[in-house]
Amino acid sequence: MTALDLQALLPLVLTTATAIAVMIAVTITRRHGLAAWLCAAGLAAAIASIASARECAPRHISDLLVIDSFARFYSGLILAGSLVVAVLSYGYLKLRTDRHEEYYILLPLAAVGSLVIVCSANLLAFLLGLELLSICLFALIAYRRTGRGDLEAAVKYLILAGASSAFAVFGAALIYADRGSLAFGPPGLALSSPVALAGIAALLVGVGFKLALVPFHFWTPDVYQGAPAPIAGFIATVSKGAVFALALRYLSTENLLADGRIIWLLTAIAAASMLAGNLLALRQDNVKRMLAYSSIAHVGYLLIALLASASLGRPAAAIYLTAYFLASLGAFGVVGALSQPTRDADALADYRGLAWRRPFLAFTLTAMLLSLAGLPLTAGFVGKLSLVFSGVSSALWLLLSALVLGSVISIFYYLRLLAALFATPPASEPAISSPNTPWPTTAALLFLTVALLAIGLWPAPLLDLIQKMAVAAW
Amino acid sequence: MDNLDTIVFYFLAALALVGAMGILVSRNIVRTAMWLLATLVAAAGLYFLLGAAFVGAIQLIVYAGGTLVLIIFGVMLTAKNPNVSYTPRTAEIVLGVVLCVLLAGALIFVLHGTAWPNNVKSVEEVKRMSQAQRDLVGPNNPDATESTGRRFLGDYLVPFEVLSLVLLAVLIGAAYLGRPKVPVIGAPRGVNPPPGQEGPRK
Amino acid sequence: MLLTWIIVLPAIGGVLTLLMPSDRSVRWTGFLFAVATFVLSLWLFPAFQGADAFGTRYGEGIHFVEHHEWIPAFNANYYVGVDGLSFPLVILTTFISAVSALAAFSITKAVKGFFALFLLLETGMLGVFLSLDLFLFYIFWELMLLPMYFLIGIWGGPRKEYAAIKFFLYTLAGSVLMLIALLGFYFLSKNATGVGTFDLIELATNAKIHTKFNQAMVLGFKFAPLAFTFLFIGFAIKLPAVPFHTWLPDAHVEAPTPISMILAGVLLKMGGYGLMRISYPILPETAATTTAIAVLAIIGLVSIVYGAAVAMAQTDFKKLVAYSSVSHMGWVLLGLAVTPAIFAKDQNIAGFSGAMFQMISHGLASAMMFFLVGVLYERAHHRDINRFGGIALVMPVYFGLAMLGFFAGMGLPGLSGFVGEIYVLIATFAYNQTWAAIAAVGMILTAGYILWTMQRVYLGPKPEDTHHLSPVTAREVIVLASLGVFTIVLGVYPKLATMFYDGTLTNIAKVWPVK
Repeated sequence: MTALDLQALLPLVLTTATAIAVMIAVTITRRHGLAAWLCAAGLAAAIASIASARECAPRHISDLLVIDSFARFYSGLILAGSLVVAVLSYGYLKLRTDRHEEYYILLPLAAVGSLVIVCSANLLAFLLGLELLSICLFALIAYRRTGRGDLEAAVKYLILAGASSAFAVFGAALIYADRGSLAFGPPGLALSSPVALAGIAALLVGVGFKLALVPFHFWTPDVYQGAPAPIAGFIATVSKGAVFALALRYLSTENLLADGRIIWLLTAIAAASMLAGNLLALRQDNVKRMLAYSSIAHVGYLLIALLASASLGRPAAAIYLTAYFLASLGAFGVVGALSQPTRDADALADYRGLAWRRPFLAFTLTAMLLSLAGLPLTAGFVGKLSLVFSGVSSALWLLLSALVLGSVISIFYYLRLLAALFATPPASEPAISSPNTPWPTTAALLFLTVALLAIGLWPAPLLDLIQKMAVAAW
Repeated sequence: MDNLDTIVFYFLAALALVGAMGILVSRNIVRTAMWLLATLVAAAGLYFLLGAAFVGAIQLIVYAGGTLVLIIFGVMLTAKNPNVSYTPRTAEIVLGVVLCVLLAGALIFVLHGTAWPNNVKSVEEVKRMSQAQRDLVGPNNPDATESTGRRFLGDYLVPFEVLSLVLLAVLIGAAYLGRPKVPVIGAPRGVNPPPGQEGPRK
Repeated sequence: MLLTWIIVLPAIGGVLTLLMPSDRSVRWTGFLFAVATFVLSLWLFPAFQGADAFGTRYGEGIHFVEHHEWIPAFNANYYVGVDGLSFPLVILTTFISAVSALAAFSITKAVKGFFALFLLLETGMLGVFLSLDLFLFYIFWELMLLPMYFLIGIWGGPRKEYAAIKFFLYTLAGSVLMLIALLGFYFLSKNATGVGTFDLIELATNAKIHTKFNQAMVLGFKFAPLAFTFLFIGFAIKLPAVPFHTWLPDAHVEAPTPISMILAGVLLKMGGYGLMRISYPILPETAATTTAIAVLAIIGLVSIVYGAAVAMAQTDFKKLVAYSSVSHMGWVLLGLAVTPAIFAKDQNIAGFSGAMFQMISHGLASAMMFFLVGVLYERAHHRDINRFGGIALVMPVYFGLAMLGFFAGMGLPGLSGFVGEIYVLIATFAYNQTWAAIAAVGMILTAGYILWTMQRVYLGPKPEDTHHLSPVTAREVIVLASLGVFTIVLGVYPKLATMFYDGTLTNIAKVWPVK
């Protein structure tokens, strides 16, 4: 462990320190504001530490972790996402629960889990990070403890995450049995033996669960619906982003795409996710469930980047994920901001005529939905276009057709919500009188909207950054 | 020495069995946990006796120290009455007995049927081995515990710490969720649901 | 920087209207910015004076060019310029926008939002006409979509949400097809030259790219016809041509009057412009095939006749005007379709020229007709043609202006509508006399429904209840008169329009293969 190792690990260390600091602060005084600020400040410091360490070369920490520019980019994304979730949670929790502080210990710990996943160079590290992330999420999903759906969601997540972890561990064990090591690579080895192939299939189940790909997606709507809105945003973005980054690294380190069977498997999963996610979202009257189904489709789109050539696929994945992070967090942020203490604003009716009651929230949600739909001038368009570019360059016609079809379907349900936002408000008293938005929530939503539109208008700086960081070979 | 080993072995084996019986017969869940402690400690003693110091230590830390404490924590945090007792139904007893007999039969069959190799290594042999082989040999390797410990706090410090974070998350999550429910206090005026409409106290 | 200013000035105005304190100041800010944009666009005129203003081949004669790197990863650039093709439409856009802004003074609901979106829409429209980069073109094309959606969906009539969503989905379907063609252009040009490009001029003039487009196969289909079809559907939805027109009556009927004016006056022109700017120069060989000519011309003819026939059957005044748009835009399509054939025969661009003229003329006349309907609706609160009658006796000034507007729409000689239709008719006659005869039937039907409508609405005995039929206000007269003047001027002296675009249209025609 050298000073340089420590510098490379700084984001991880600082995020852990955040959790510890909040814990100590809680023992001294239970103050919601203090805990939230400590958490936000710690995460911000961790983000800053990534920026400061941008220049150092890839570093292997023992043989379990590797900190390279790819890991740094996704670490930044994860930490930024966690920070936004922390800020959004402040306003959300204030009206709910009598104990807010544990939340700000668990949230950075979940972020640490995600960071470990992103930095792992070894299946052991991946499993470790996965467990940490999952365990924090169990508690965070059930955090309100109202007993209305949230405990059900947590138990559902607990059981399915446990099962999927078991699959992942079993897969790792098979791979270990085959080659005597859990380290990623060297390329090609895994495909030589049926045992390892079975191991990879089992790993795929674990990964597919976390990414909520189609056939492993059943938990998604219930969990999104039951979880607090900011945590649903966290599950949709940070948790998925981390696992996706790992999948990207694992697939290319092991060169799994050399095998036609794996390509076909992933293609089928991707196409099924795009179509099923969008079709199921069409029928939803519950906004959180709709966003859940649409998130299934979005990860399906992302798989195009996974299957495309590395030179275009990796930047496409990074930019699409960034856009998806912004839009999803923003959408769940608005849901959270509108929610009443007793229930989340998840019925379509809660949004009818929102533009006349809460123009700022309606405008924010509009921008987010347009980005999710992939309309121009938003980050989502740049992301989707990058995906299409990477797909065309690798001639993934089937998936591109599914992407186009899925996007067209998705317009219907996004438009449905959008139309509700601007509909003439009902003459009677609105069904839901949502609380005032606290300023941190407003600030976070404003930041997300501005970033979303800025990337949509002028994506060149972000594309440059991604080209520099998220593409570099490992 | 040989005699002393034998005496200690029988003592520990008896303790383990008595503990197991105690678990079966006691009705109070905290007492059950205490009997379990006896069994687990006895098993750890057996490992030490076999020279597997590391496994013994892990047994103490993880089972006696961790799992047991978790059970007691769980009882304390969730049960309304810490002296809760548990009465099995007849069907459960029958099923349990059948399963136990089957398991015991299977174990005896396997133990009896396996041709145990006499592969106990002398200290000289162990010293000639590579580190990796030594780790595998375990029981007779005097360095195993030390080298494992060194690795945990050396090369593998980061994953080790992450592992401790997993436990921290479990602890905090369980402590938070296990707390008895109280109505929403400290919430701004007007957000508390009218009494009776929302009843979180179950 | 002139073009950038023209594009962003409305958007700046849109932001400023949001900061204004009162509805009154919002209206005036919005109007003044629309007028300022119009005045600014007049600065383009000098560039189109002189013999060499249009160059001798396509790609020359582009003025006020601005070219900046935008998204290097896609080789998409901020590339704007104005040539004879875009110039008349830019002037039309700024003019109609200014007039519509004045017409929008009657809006009372959420005035700030209305003017902000209205001006944003103008930015989008101007951007479409001024972009010379396909990617930028697409972005602006989509930028028009949302403000329009909200303007119909919030300020529209009773079935506004249905109409807005229908408009949105139709247009979006078109733009998805367009995006596919656009990406096809990019990747095949990358194949041909090593560097993918969205540059509209480069795509049309680079011989290597040209060859590639004509030879490439995509998924077993020839690329050029496929791309032409996709683009055509995208533009035909906007135009709208007959099988794709069903969004238009709904959108028009539900949209508030100023938005109907913009929709008919400018947005429908995007379809024709897109064909002339993208399809014809980039895929000239495909456009010149007899299949393409026949398909486009027949769709155009069906639109002319069907639109006129359906208009005749309407009792809703606004729906009648909406269907008349379908009919009139059919002329544009017919004119475009036959041009490659007649140009190959005798270097004649009458079809193109007529289509362009028809777009300008329809822009003026349809905006005027929609406003005429709006004026009446504001007073009578219904639009049922059969319940009107004798308006001429109550509102004489209004009647005079209405005659001008509807006769311009009808194509009365001496007014602008006549010129475009006669140009197209001549061009069609030179290629296929049967088609010309069918088109002439359309002209007769048009005269029929317009005269019949005028008789039912304006003539007849004086209505009993006239107290709500107050005389037209000065503002309304200004709106109508400013549009009306140009229908007369262009009708009497068509060269005032053709002199600004014929040069460029000839250059585009020269891209076509001579048989």
